[in-house]
Amino acid sequence: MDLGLSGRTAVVVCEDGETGPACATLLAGEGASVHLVVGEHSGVSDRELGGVRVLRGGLQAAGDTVTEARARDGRVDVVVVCQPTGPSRSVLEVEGAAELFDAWEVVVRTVAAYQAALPSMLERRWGRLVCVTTTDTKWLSDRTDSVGALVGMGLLGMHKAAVADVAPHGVTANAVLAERDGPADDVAALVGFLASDRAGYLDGVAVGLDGAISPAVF
Amino acid sequence: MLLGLKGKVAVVSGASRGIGRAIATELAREGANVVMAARRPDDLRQAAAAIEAERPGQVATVTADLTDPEEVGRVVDAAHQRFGPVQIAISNVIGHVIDAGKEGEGPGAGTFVSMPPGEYRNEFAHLLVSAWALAVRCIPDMKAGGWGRIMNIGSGVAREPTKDLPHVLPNTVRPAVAGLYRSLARELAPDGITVNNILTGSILTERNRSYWQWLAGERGQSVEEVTSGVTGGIPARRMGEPEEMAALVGFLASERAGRITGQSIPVDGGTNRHL
Repeated sequence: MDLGLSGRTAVVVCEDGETGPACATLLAGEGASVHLVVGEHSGVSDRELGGVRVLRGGLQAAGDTVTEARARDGRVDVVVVCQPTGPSRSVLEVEGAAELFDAWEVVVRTVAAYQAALPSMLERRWGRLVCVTTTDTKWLSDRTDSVGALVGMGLLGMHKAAVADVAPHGVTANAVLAERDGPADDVAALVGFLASDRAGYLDGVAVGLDGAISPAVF
Repeated sequence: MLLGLKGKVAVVSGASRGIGRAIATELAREGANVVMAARRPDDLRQAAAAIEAERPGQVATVTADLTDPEEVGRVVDAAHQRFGPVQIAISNVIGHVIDAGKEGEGPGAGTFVSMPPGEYRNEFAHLLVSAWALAVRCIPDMKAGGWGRIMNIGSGVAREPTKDLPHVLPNTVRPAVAGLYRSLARELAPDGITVNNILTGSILTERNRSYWQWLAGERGQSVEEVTSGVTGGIPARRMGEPEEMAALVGFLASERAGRITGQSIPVDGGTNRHL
């Protein structure tokens, strides 16, 4: 399947883990110019990763990285943000509101990254905003992670709200709900499809990738 | 992206027109051998000929009523004889017919108060029993091969019943198909078989054009006024193309989508409102 990504520019943001690099590698393999920004403590080395430009700074640097990519390539067509998979945390365990605000920064930084890309996307009437969060967001597992769940739902809500504004301009906003320790290449394939030219009529969608472990019908 | 569909055997129902035809085309282009099934032999032959011209030897046709489990069995047997065990099963059977005058059958639209109880059985046969029959006939071969892809072309009303029309039959049966598929997904996951439901939005098909024409008559509007109203309610401000549905089906049928199962995925330009 030709994903129609040749010549497009993608920015992939992730703090840690394999998913961000896997997405970046797949998008580069499909012909996109890819900028991968990883967290300071990420194990990805500071070098070109199979045609991918690797930067440091993680979510904190997401908006600035998109702006810089736009200046460098003249465009940004795809933004992929991977929600950090930190330790599970219950809201009953947090030490004050400050910790909740810290967790919520994922949403704020994702918005910043998307907004930095939108002028380019709106100009071209084509754009793909993709967020990777976890299945725990919607289908709570035995793991108690109410902090992660509220952040994940905030991301989904933000995507849904964004659709009304961006969809008329050929921009889609979709989410992938992935298992915490699931195969990164499977996530990357779905992200690649959602970022593609072929997925222009999928918008405001959250696709689960969990082998039907989650119990809900919807 | 390589989808790994070369040589896979697929059955696509409702394949003579619109979304079904686009799906058959997409799968054939990715290298699959496709058995196209539909009720109308002339339309089916025409659709198959177009694909055969592009992909010689990869297409076969069976004229059948896919709401009849016996006929479904005949289609699957024919696929097995022609190409081998079925690995990809796409159920795409339409439900009640809106434009009864044009299609010649069906009760048309109706409210909860007005719809006769028997029509619920007919809709059940069209939308659920057809999906069940295709799945149950293909599953043994899929289990034997440790690999399978089952999909239903459903509707967004499964999750968000349309408020604009008296649409009580699909509003009732479509969610049941979603429940069936979710259950099947959990049951079959250990066998390497994925089961997914596509929630169709407003797609530019002959059937939908007929439907908008009927709606125009009901409302005393022009067709342009009806379609303008429809697109005005879609965030993407346009109808979808059958090829856009087919692209998702192609991806979900692929080797790359082995852990996407039990999902109901809208293809609707952002119309869906649920999180």
